[in-house]
Amino acid sequence: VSDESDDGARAKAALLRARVASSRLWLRVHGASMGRAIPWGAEVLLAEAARPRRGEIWAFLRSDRRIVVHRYRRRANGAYVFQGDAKYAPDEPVAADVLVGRVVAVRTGDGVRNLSERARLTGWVVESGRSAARRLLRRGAVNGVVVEPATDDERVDEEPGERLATDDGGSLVADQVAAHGRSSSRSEAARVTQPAAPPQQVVELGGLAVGLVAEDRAGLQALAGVVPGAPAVDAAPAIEARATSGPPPHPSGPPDSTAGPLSLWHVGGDLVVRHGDGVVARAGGESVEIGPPEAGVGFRLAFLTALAHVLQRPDRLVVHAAAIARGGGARLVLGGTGTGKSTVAFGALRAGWEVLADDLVVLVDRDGAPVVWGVPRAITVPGELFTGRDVRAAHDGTRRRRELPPATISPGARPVVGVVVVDHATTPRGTVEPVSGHEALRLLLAGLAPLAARDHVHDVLPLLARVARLPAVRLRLGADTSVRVDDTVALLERVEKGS
Amino acid sequence: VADDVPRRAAGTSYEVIDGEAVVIDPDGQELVTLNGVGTLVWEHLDGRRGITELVDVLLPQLDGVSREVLDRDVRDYLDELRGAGLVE
Repeated sequence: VSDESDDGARAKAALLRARVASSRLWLRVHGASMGRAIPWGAEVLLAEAARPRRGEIWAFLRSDRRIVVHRYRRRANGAYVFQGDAKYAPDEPVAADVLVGRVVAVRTGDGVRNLSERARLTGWVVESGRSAARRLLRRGAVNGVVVEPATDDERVDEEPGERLATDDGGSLVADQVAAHGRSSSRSEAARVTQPAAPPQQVVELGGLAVGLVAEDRAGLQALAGVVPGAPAVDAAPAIEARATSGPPPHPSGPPDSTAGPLSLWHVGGDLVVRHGDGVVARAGGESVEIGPPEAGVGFRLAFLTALAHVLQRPDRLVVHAAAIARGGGARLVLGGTGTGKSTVAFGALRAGWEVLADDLVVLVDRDGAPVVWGVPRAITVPGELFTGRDVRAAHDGTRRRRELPPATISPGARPVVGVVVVDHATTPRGTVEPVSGHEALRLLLAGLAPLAARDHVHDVLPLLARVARLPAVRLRLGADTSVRVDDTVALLERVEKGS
Repeated sequence: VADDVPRRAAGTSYEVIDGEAVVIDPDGQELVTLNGVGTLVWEHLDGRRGITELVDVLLPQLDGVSREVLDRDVRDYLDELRGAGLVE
């Protein structure tokens, strides 16, 4: 190593340090030497720092003036020794004057991840964090149940996982709600004014018989209209969903959390959901109570969120995902709100696949194999994807979502044979590429409706891991909306061939 | 500490996906992902081997590492896992 190249490296390092100090400097990383901590092609954000601490990831200049991003191991004769996580041997020691800065965040196709303090020391711990596990907990983590709204202007949550980090505690037991019960005076009154047997029907949801009960036909229609694809069954209901003419009481205090237009409270084991338009749903045990019944988006969101709460069990998981099937096997389509699950579902219909659901599914373990049902709400598709032959009614010219007829939803269970992670490409045409099982698991965890108790977190891992081990691909939807559906049809053919 | 017999903490659960373990701590609060080497060590933490014996078992399974380096790394790693409540 000549003095000249060292001078060059020192000068470049000084320049970069100045940039790090004055602005947010992102560097794109090429190479796999940091393993899963920094995947190939990821970008890293650097921050000014005095000296490396053991386990931190730093950028520094090699004597050939290339920037290297590796983990700091130890001092050696006044110099610093770094090593890539995926390399057993350390790098040549470097002097302090070629250090650039500490890596504080990593940006990949999945978004930005702040580097965990725990991902230090040996580097054998790749990733560690509370947030993912917390999503599994009911308290402070209710947003995982959020259901994609039917219109763009009512979008609930850009990224369901993101707001889950706050844990406000759960001591919001209001007297008003604690005093509430099914034998409330309201139901008594309803019984008096409706002497005939209340209208009801039993439908299958997630393999369970769910009784829909209302005070009148309109109420029943409101309930059934949320899950129009649910087949009627002749069975004793395991879960009862009841529409009441007025809203069930909700706690008077501030909500434990909010998600777009929804406010959510936890009262004992129950979940209370209130939509901004006045609809309130209360879910607990084996029942949902909701009112007032109406056809609007508020009723739909509140009902699905409450339903997810009662369907969710350690052995029956409710996951924010679409499910598409061909040849008897289903693939879960994972991605946050707005990533294009419904577009994939729409493309799948065009390609002759079955669609079980475009937003919410129920996952169970059947003899060691994952099996999925859709929660059969109407498939809603972004308006811009429609062409003349899809829409007989006049197009309203907005980007609102459109509902497809209930017949487009396939009922029943299918074995899960793969995972599709959906995302948007920047190119006109989309792409299909393999994706790691860990990413599939992360998305499954992020999309999981909250569980009833902390110890259940351990119970759900085996089933989710079983799904995560199935063949997984990332499908990036093309940016050109005029050909997006046809393009998606072609991409799904590759998905099918790929696994 | 040479006689230290590390074991996975009671109440942890883990699953290995693509050769890398995902571990949940006993409280169900922490989700930790281990890389390939970390997973190999983790799966050997059955409470039957001291660290020296553990290194004996691991050494032939790893390329390009000396006994001294591996021994030090395993001890560092176990400290880290203890800090996370995953090893006792």
